[in-house]
Amino acid sequence: MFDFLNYGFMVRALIAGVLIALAAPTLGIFLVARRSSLLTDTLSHTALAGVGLGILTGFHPLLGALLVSILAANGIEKIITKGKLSTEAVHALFLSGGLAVAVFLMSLSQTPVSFESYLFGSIATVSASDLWLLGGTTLIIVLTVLTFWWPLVTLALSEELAEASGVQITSVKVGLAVLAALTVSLSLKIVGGLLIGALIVVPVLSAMQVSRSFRSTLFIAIAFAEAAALIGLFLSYTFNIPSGSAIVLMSLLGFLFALANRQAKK
Amino acid sequence: MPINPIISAQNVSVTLGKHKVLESVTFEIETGEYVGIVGPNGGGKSTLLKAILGLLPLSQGEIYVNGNRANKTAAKKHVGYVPQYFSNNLFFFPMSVEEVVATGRVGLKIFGGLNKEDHEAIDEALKTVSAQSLKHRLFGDLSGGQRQRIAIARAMAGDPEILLLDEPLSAVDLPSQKHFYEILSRLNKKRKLTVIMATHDLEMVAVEASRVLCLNQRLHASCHPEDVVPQQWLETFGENFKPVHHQKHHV
Repeated sequence: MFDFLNYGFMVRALIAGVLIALAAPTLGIFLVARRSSLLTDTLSHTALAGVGLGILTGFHPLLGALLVSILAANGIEKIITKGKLSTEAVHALFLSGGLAVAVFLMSLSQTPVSFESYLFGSIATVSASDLWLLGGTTLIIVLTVLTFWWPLVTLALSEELAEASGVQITSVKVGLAVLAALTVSLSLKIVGGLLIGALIVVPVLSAMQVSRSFRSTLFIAIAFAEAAALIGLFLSYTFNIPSGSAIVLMSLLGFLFALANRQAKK
Repeated sequence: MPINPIISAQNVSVTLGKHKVLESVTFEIETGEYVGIVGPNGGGKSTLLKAILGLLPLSQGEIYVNGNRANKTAAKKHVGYVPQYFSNNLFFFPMSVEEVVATGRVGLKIFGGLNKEDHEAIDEALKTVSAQSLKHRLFGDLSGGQRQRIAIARAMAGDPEILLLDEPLSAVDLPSQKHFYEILSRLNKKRKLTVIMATHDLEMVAVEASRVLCLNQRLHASCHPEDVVPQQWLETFGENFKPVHHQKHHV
């Protein structure tokens, strides 16, 4: 049953899955609480433009994704803060623009790289250098959230209360968006640009059905995400289906289970 | 140590868009005062509170809180704030009462988790509003009155010298309002907490407040509730204003 552990690509995929499942809900909890879940989808589409740029120029595609999505994260937060455009409109602008640029750049590229693997994830494509990047990013996300836990929780509660308490809300909001950009970019290979948003958001929604505090929501969300990642990767290997699809489907199954459990208790 | 006046507003004007909401407002508040800010809707009560909290840019003048400009972090540490409504986020996202109150400590500590001192301050704040039994409840499950008591506990957890309240009882039943005012009065008298409340409840102002600021874009009066002449109020707030009679005082 565990013969897949004999394959190096599968071990790398599992390590990547465990890391992403730790980072994604750790960040996702603040995005869901602030009603900013859409940010992950927008950033994943702009990250795809970075992948296209990376492939076209011969640069590391994930570093390209990282760079473009961090710039987009800053841009999105600044435009929203100015208040001239509605939040949904800004997201629509970056989301469709990012995908259009990504497809355009990939069409210019002569390199035989499967763009589809960046859309839906693939367990066969995770390299050792990707793991180092992912490990470093996960560490940054976890340490940042632990260090700034209370300013982040206060911001999730209310921007007005956070600002009245002396929290530099613009810096915290931009920081949160940059962390989201990091998570999204480095998850592209394993979960895919079109599905990473779900792994950031769905485990948090599942945890919300059963938790009794902000902190327990985080721990339960990580447990849901880890289970979805490990089972999803196993199914992806066994049935030869895209890893992102398998992981997100497992995550959705977890949500349905949590929802049913809550309804049963009522 | 608080300095006097603990709040000083000098010639303050605030413009939102093209609309001047506050114009040349000047007043001082001493430590331990209980001040009611009254005025019509749109008269600038909430704007004045937000200006004291340093949340709005002033188009003219200055506000000092305990000797520091209101928009500086040093000033914000002295102020606890109870908003009109708590965030809607709390009704769909799970957050315990303890966590809500703990966010009141964020002005004192930006980094890391809660230490023993923080936990003691949270317990003390909950005790102040007689809400220790609610500590592990979900905030979203509480009644309107309980939520507003927790809002006071949150504000008190930061050990403030000034408590600002923005029409905090607009959605709370009468028995809960009475309990709420008792808590404020106790904090004001026993702890010398400076309380500043924007409100439409003139009866409460007459009974509880030591001073009234009548605001309608400009500051029309700053006086003891008993000293307010009904005719002045009528001129300021229009013919629909009905003086309220109360068992202790009448306005």
